[in-house]
Amino acid sequence: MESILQNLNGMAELLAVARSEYVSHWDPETVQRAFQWATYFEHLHGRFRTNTRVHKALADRLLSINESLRNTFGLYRELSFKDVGHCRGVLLASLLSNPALPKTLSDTLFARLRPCCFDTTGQRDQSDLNHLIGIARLKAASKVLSHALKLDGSTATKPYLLLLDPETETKGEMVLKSLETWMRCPSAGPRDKLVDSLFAQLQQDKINNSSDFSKIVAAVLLAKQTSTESGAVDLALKWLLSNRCQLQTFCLGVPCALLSELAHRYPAFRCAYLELLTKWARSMEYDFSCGDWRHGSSPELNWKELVDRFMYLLEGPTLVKEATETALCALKADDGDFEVWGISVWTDLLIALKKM
Amino acid sequence: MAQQSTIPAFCLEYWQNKAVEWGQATTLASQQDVCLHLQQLKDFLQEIFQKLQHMNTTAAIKTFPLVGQLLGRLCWNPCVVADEESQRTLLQCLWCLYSAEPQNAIELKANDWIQSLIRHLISDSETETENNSFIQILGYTSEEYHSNVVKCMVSSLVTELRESCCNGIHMPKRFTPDRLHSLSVFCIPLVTCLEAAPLIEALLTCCESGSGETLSADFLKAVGTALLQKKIGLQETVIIGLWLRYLPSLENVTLHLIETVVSTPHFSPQEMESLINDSLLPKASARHPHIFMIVDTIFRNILLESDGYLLVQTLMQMFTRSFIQALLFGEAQDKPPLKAFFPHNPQPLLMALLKHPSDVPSQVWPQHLLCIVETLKVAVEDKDNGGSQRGLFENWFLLVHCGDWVDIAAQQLIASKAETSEALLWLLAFYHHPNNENQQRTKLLAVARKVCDHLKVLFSSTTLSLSHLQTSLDLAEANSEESGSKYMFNQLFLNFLLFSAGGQVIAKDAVHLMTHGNLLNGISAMLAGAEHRLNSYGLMDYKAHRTLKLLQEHLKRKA
Repeated sequence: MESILQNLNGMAELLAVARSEYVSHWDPETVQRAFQWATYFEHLHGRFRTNTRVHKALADRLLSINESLRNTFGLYRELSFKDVGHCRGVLLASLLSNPALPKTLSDTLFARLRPCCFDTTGQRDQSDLNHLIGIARLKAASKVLSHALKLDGSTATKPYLLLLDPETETKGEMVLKSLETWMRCPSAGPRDKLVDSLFAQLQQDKINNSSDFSKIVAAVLLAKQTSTESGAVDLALKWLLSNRCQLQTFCLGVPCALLSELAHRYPAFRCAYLELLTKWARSMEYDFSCGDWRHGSSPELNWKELVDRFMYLLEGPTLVKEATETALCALKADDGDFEVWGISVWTDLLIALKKM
Repeated sequence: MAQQSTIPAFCLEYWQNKAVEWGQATTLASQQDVCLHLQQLKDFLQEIFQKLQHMNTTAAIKTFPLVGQLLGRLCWNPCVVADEESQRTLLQCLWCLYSAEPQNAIELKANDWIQSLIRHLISDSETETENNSFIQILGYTSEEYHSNVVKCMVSSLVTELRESCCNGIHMPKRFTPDRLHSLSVFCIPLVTCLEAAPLIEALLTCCESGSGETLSADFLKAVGTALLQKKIGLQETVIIGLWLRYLPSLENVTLHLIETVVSTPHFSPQEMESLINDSLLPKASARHPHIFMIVDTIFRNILLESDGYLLVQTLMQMFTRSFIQALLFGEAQDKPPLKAFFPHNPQPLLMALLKHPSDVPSQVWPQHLLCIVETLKVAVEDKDNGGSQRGLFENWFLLVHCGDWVDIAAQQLIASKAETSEALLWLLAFYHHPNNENQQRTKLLAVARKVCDHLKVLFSSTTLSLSHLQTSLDLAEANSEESGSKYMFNQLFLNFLLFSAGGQVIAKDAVHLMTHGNLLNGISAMLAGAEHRLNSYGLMDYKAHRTLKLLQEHLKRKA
């Protein structure tokens, strides 16, 4: 058993190297040996697939292997027990898509696939080819389905979840899943730091602009499949609310309907959001020349936006609606309870909202 | 859509133009066009593959200069790549153009180009870098990402569909018939995709009623084909629903069953039974008389075209048995009456014939057989009430469905009393000659009576020799111009050999005489049927078993 676990280490390292630039040092014998290893592991998987005890031991070991290799290699692909069953296919796909692979080796690999392609009688082992076909299919299927989703659908009565496009929703769920997996690692550090580092990494990723990132965080908080014991969602929420500036960027980047749903689900968020809106409204000044409220320093925080946000909150679920109404009325009373336009921002808000 | 029928089978230029058109247009309609042409494209790619297989790269490029462009364009079309079969054929064609040892510059270039195409298909392409880094930070592969995205899209579409269908007439439906139709077209390449299975099922269960068919016929056809090739699995109710709304799928399943049975003549009865039950036809027929009628019509046509081929008859009998069982043991609500399935047969006859021999105690068989013969005679000779040609045919057909009773009659005949024998003989004669226009039935009856009488005399004698049987055998031989009569006589002799006191000794030689060394298959099948009956009706006849085994061994050695 111990030797199997050791070998598992070796396999994970093998696959990691296959995706890195170290393959440029490989030669045909190495490739041959690599595939032999992969065949051995597939065989192993076949033997232990139904044996739950061994299965679990291997899966656990993989978790810790993943963690250590993650720190070693820059961009690492996490391995699961299922991957062991497709080891050859995974190896092949990793090698073929690695730009650092020397040309002679990629030629050999392509030639290797040739008989599988020609074989129509099904005698040869087509699992390598099937694995590649499977990858290509999924990519194409997601494109086809995205066309199908673009078909005319009225947005009038769409539930909030459909406001998140499937890509963002998936990303959110994957982030959550990653978090939960990392937290389960035996040697994981303090959980807050985990969340911080992950989100920091995602934020720094230059390709993602801040609005996309905010939507992903929203997707994390709204994810459907979450195991409540892990508390990953709560951590994410805590992270969001810990930094005021961050919260502001978040609220500006995410559609209002989503925000009101978040307010419904998480009382802490509701308070923070209302507080943010209050602060925003308070910092507005009435401009007598054009009869409008303006924000002194940031022109993008305009009146219309503010009104829209309050409107979504009031049209939301009952709890949220009541909380907002109470807050607004209280603030109006504090300010002197005026009914005339132009003096208190709260009065004007309530007037504008009543008009809608 | 009309162009589809006029496309020449092999037209590289046509498909090249199509591929260019699909690549340039970005409208939803053009994407749908791809899906609608998918089956024809698959056939075309197969043909190209057959041709390319035998050429090396240079020759291929000389003969089909445009093929490389075409294949390349198709690789960039997600609707083509999403379908497993078309992707596989596409890859096969590409590999035909790949040279293991490139001889010239063209082949080298082709190799490089093919490698880049494959890479594009399986790895993260340049346009997806934004997803790239995100996924890599988390440690996933793009394959897992796409799998999750597909699952997410599928589940949101399924939720929308379910909500749309559950709404009564009062709430506005989110899915208009047009949108449903378009969605079903987009699902054509995804029919065999495992992650999209919930969506396929939701589409098929949604919109059951309504005016006309909203789903695309090509989609329904694709689902039917995939089911037949066992590439996907659906729930039974969904499959039956598909058959009800798209008849060609039902016809294909029935024909496939018949073909399988006919092309594999050595099915054991248990294997055939499970084959029939797996096809879901008995269950579906029991719930929907409409389906039963169609399946039955197909069986009938095949039976008539094949001139009463024995395997088809056996298939019909086993199907009827499974069907009746499904009818009896199916869910209690809305069970159609027997009349709905057999509108042309009188009720008493239905009740008598549709009871399977295994459900009737063997002591009661003689009475039951008499009952069958009487009701059958009444039905057939009743000139007023549909006793026409049609009525005769329908009743004969019913008898074919329940041919087990005819086999039992043959078994019981030799040992039966005089009054019963006449009736049983009539039944056997009717089975092989329903039409008595030229008095064939009467003639056969006369000869059979003689043979039967002779055999009865010999039945209990323990010492038999072949010469005792000679007269009967000769008589039978003289009157066996038609295969039906021959079959009947063979049945009589075989049953005699199995069940008589002295039959075992002369069995082998008698069989040899009966068949003159040929037509062994027919005898083997009869023996197999006899064995099945002995085993399933619990008749503890040790001697008959022994004789049976003896004969089977003998025939196996001869074959």
